[in-house]
Amino acid sequence: MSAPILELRNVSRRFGGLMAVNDVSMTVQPRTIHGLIGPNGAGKSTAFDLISGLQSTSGGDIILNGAPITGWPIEARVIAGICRTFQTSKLFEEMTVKDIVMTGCHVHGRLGMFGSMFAVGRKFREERDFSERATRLLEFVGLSAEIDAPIADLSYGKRRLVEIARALATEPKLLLLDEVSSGLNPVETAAVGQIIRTLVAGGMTIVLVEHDMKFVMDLCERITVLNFGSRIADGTPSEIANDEAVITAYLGHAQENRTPRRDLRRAALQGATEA
Amino acid sequence: MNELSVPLSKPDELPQSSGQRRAANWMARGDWLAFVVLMALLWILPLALGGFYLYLGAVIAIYAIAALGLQVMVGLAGQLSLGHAAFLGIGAYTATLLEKGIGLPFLAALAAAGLAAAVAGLVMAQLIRLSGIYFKIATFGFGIVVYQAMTNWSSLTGGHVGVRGIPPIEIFGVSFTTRVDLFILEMITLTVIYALLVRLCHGRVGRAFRAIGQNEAAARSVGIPVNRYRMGVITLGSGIAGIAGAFLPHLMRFLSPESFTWYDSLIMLIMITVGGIKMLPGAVVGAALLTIIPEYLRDFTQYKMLVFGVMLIASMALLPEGVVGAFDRLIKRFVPRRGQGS
Repeated sequence: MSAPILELRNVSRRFGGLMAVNDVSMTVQPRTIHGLIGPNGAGKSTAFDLISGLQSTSGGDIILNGAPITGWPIEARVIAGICRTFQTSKLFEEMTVKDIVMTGCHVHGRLGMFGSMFAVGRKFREERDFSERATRLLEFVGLSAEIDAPIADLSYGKRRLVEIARALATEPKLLLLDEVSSGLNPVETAAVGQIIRTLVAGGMTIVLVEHDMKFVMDLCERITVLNFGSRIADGTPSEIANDEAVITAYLGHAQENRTPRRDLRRAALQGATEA
Repeated sequence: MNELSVPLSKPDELPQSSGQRRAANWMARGDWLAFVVLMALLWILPLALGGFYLYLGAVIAIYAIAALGLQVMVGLAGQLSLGHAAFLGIGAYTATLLEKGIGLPFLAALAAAGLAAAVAGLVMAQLIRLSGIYFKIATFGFGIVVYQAMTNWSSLTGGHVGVRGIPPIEIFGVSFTTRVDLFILEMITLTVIYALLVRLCHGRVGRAFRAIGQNEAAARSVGIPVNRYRMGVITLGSGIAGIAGAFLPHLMRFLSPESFTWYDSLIMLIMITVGGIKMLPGAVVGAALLTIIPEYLRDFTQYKMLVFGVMLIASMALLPEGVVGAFDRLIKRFVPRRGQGS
């Protein structure tokens, strides 16, 4: 196995008395799709905030390609190759689709405040470069037709794709997608799945926080399961699907001496048809 | 990367590439179009009409410069400042004291005024560590502190009495004494600053400013160093106000702290709101409206603030995007926009 691209070592995050993320360790291999799942409130999104640098850790280490990045500010992490999307798309509501994606190119530009005002040739080239990158990425996610539309005109699913394109514009090595399939219809979900596969085939590593089990099980090579901020399982999709702790976390305990609700319902139904 | 077929765009939605390319920079072109129209009007009308209109044009130019600075801070980058007049004042006093006190040439004094206001802005920008509403209140406090300094540091500023005998503008031995001269100098400054800001707006840094104003968390997520940029935009907006301030005593032939009260800060905020917040042309249109309208209400001077209040409420209720926003909408209704999908 190659060296991991991302490693969490005993990472914790405390909000007052609540351990949102408690002593979580996790290893993500390069060029894989890694799932991070768990019931509501398990600490998945907080874990993403810690990896992307939106929040600081209360303990533990985050290691990217062997280098600790625990205390790094978010912009340094983006330059190092981590970018994330949000659970509910966070876009720039007054911009056009292309402008939003061009904003993602920020870390690849050189011109400062005075450069943006006074430089002529350099600015023209930078803008053209950003514009070409944005156009290419929007073609890639399938939004060529909406390139100059105001973002407010786009449907929920297309807004997701714009957010993905914006994250891709930073040229991440590690892309964190927070509930990327939620609220999408099956066709859109399949399209996003295809985008993810293509990116990984191109050398990217992707971590998914997901609720859609089928989506996760189909895509991921490895899955980490959180519950109440702690890691309860880690393994391949089939291992996870048969893991006792995971089933308990999602569905609760099987109680002895109780007729399953399914049987009760069936009995009631039969009674109704016989009568 | 292109072998991927994403079923989200139907074939009939695919771009007709030539039309697409032409429509590519709709927003930037709109801004430049507004720039040309507004600057043409503002250059030609006062010079053609002369007299009182020339004076009005000279006032508008000063406040348009200051309002543009405020628009970049507040409208684009979302950093509300309730003390903008303070920077106008810092610029005015810096320029006047340097010109009168040590006989510095006007251009040097103008640069110094911008620099002094920018430094003061950078000092105020340190307060962004205060979160949300506290920063806004602190900018209000900053404005009051500067006003108090101007009124009470009499040995330097002349206090309430003010400064008289403003020396005439002289650039490279040529003196600019008439009102037409002053108007032309102001308009050159306004045109240059406005053009630079349009360029800034449609470049890497301006896009980052807009991103911060529209969604700070998202701006951080793509690697924009938000705090540094917030400080940068506050410094820039304040410096521009300082440059505007340097012209004010030359127009009024008098300088007193009463031009830089919290009330003046408020009026500049009303300017950008009525003109159209988030849009550079809104600052210029707002400065013109709020300079011209009170002149026709001279008989009701005591109700001036009432009129402004009503204008503010009316514009927020009826034209939430300001005069420029409403105009923009009207144009788009008649000119179908190309390359719009969805």
